[in-house]
Amino acid sequence: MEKQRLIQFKGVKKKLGKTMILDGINFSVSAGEVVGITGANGSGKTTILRQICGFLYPDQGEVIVSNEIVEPGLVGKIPAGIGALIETPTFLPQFTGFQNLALLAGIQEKIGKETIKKSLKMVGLEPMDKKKVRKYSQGMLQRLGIAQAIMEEPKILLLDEPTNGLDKDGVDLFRQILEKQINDHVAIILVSHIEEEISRFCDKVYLLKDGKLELIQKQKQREWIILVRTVEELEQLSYVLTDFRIIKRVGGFATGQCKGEWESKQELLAFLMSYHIIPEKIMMEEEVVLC
Amino acid sequence: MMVKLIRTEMKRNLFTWSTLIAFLLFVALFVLGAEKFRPNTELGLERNSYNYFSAFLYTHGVGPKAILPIVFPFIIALLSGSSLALDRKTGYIEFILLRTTYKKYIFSKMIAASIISFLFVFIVEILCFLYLRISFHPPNSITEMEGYVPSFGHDLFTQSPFLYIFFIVLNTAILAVFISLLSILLATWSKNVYIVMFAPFFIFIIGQLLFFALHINKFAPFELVGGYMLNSFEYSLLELPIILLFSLLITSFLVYFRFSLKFKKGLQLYGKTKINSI
Repeated sequence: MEKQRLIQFKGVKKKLGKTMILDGINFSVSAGEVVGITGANGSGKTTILRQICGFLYPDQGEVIVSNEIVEPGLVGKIPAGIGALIETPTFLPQFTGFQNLALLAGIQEKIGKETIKKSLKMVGLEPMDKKKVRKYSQGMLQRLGIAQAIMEEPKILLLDEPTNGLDKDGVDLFRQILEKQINDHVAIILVSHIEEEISRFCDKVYLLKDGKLELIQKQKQREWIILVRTVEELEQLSYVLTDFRIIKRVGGFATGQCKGEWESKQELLAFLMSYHIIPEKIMMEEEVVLC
Repeated sequence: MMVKLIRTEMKRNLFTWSTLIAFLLFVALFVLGAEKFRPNTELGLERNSYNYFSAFLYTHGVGPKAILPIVFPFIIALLSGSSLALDRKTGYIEFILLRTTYKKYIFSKMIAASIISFLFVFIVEILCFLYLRISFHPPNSITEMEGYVPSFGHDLFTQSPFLYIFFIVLNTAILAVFISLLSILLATWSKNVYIVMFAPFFIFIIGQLLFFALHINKFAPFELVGGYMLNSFEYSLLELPIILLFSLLITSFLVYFRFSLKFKKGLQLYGKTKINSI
């Protein structure tokens, strides 16, 4: 059954100043799908997100969100709700993180204080922290921005450079948040100039260059089985690989499973060795079944 | 949703350092004006010349040493006029506009700013008048008062002076609403918080000079703050509130019109992101 397309771009063109930023963009995002958009700084990635949010409008073409063409006044009324984190998040400096989110949540009144606290905990922030936002670090602001985007359980999530300023723990937390959103059938767009980063999280990845969108990652990633000698190596794999999970031992070795679009075992091996991990063996899922 | 939005706006505007400064400035200048009026010799204790009614009028802009009327536009802009500029500058406007429509956003801004400025002026002026009641004597006789006796609404003043004071406070509160809306209008042009805070003050100065140059002194800005009570122009009792309300409505319309126009063109040009950093 075809999933509902929550975001559609149809022949979208947009000029900013004298520059044609978007030149005939076509793509869609369905419920539960994670689409990545990458490209150089200034290529127009954020412009795409802003058009979905209704902050900008195309010169030609249509942006359709939840089956409605985006026009002035639409966003803010969409029942599905849009959660967005575009560029560096900014909050009211004289309030705490919780107070900031409570003020925003008070606009639509979809959620209560407990949900806000839960969202803060999910991003690794203490809900009862009395620290005002003006004293937040870059990483804390980013976490608060993510909490702001997810707290009202939107059906569309737009994240611009979401791991910007996050430490390793923060990136792990972000991965967990993303998994939950996917399980909740949220349509997600991730924008980053770091192609490798979003490839780890996304089903499809587009490259935005010279106003054109090119699909550079087409399909779901393969399942890989990795055998290692020690539990410590298993832990290292869990930090390095997305969707990594520990499975039943194979041949007496500690074993984990992950997804990836590596073309071959050698490519995966080279990737792992760049993180100083030397596995005992790498297999594809079907090989394990045959074993 | 509008009520919630207005409440959110009021909460964030009230709990700021600028509100505290506005309050302290207002009270300090009021008290300063009153102390300038207070006679410094025992010979000057004529109650018909130095009483709390005269002190109020003096402080409110009638007296030559009263500073409050001149600083009044700045105090009001400080209080509630800068929130739109701040939202635009920081990008916080985007978080809000994801949750509500732009019409509700700008209406709630205007309503919240109006309520805050009205109540602020109303309450603080009443409190200041109560201070004058404690620290100055009453007149021996209203009808035999000398010195600072209002020409505006003179009959009302002589028949019911407290009601007259209430009426003046009401006029001033309406003027405060106009100034806060003027600040919000300026914020549709500039994201600079300091420009938005100081510009009403300079607009009043330039307006004053302009009105004088065009010989329509009767409605010059600073006359409307307090000079009208004692000047030689004859205003009917309702003339000033009607003019102020009319100015207020025009300003509200301009705010909505300008904001809508800007929003429909695109918030990127309106928000914190510059074109070369997309």
